[in-house]
Amino acid sequence: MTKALGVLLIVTLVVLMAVSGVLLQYVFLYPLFMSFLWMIGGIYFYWHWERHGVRDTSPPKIENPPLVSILIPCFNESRNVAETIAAAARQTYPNFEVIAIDDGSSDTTGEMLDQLTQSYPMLRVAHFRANQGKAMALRMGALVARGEYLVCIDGDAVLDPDATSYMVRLLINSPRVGAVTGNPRIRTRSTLLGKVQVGEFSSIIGLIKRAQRIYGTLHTISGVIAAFRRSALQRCGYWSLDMITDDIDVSWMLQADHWSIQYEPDALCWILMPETFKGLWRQRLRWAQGGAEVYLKQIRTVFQWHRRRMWGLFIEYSMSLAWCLGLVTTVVLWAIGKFVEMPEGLNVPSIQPPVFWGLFLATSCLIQFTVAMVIESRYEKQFLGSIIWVIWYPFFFWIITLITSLVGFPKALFRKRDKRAVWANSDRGVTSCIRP
Amino acid sequence: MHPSLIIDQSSTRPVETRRLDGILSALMWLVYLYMVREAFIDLYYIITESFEWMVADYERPHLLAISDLLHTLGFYVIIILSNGAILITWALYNQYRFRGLDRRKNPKPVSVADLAGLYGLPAQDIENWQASRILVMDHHPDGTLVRVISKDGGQILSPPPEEPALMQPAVPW
Repeated sequence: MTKALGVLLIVTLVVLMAVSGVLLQYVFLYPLFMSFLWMIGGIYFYWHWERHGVRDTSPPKIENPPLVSILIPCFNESRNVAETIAAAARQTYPNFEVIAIDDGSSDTTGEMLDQLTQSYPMLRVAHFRANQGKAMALRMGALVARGEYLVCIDGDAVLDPDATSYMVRLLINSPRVGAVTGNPRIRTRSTLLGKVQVGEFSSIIGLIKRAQRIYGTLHTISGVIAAFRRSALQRCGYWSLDMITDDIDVSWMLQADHWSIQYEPDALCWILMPETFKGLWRQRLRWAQGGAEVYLKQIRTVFQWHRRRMWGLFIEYSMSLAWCLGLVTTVVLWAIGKFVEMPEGLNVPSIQPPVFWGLFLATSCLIQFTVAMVIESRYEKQFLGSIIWVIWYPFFFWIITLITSLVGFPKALFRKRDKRAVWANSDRGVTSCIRP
Repeated sequence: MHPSLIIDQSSTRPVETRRLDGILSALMWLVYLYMVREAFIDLYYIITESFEWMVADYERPHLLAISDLLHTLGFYVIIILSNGAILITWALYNQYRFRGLDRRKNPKPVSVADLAGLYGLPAQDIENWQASRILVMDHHPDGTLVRVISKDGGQILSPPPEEPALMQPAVPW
């Protein structure tokens, strides 16, 4: 029933636009206006929160630092786990423990973790006999953790030494903050796909998070680097076991429960990303499907008055989905119109945009990248050079986003909710295979 | 940033593939420039017509070529600025409205008893697990925690078999 409501909402939106003759304008103008909205929000965030930062001097000092538990779920991470644990153990935050959860790995991850406990006194390990999925690993990690604040990273991520201090400071300073998301930085830069993603993560992920912070709600934390207040998670029931993207789900749950989620760009975390088309496709499809699952789950309650805080987020997501469906509908209407005489409102004489629209779209995308990279150059110096490669983004990545959204939504629609989400084999960059 | 964190193994890829990346990217920039050609053509007309008007006493430039562009641009700029103004007004309102206010008290840290209540597990077991350095956990396929072994102490802790611990906490909505 709720799934039908979700579909009905999007389809109605698209049909109304098609009948009133504004579908083509919407398809071209929505990304243009959103791009500038993100830029304005991102610049405001920078102006208000970031420009006076003390990044180059020292991490924030916290009086009487409470115990923080760093949770690291690992599944077949024998190639990366030693580096990940070493980086986590180097935190400048003075009071922390590291809990690695070996989620039934079939390689030597478990043995390696046991050995590492001898080198790192703050390291604790929980082994699962069988693979249970990341959400269960995080749940069990939280269960055996002693800290009220939980920092969660992936088993192949390298945490910056000051990241915990930056994130936990926000949780301590405001009782309203339920979670803090950090700033993932891409390590794998050997192929064209890797290089484009470097720009994408700052432009799309970083700038949008800054803008969303300004209007109050974040679509998602970054699952690879986030900190949580345990009491907020306790109220929401921790991570859902049946959602394909636990990070999007927990973000919506926390915010629906009136917790604020902050973005801390100073909390850096170095991550591996896919560098093959197949790996990228799988990852983006998972993101799209996960977003749709959360949307369909939350639509039951989002219209209630006490959830009004979620309306902005909900409208933004609905409009993005409507954009994907609208673009396809435009092409379909144009194709049908080649053979059948269409009524006035549904007639699409040409799918080629008026000349300036394409120009505005591509230019606004490139301006967005430039703005984001200037802001982000504070965190990574030699990073402006990657603008050469971002020309691919408006042409190639938008199409991937469009197709994965169109494929992911029906997959979410027909997926059984009680089916447990487990780890997928992921591509961590072609170079990770040849690293010593 | 530690430079060693960046993994750039481009040099291990075939030269042809790397060249192809560069050539394709250059082609994409050319496609982009092709898209902006109209803007350059209009700019050329403005400059040449204006020059002729000023220097050669030519007829007043009609500027028709760019009137559509300016009209469309103006409309877009108004919408973009309106959106931006709404966003910044909203941000300023929130800063003003909630300045210095913490209407939510600092939440009480989650205790072992809270965890025990949520998961339906004995509090003493959870305390033991939290004190342990290496644990081995067995789950039923439905997610139920059926056995926990503390490897460092060699101690085996398990919930009563007739009352397995449910790891599906009741979500408050």
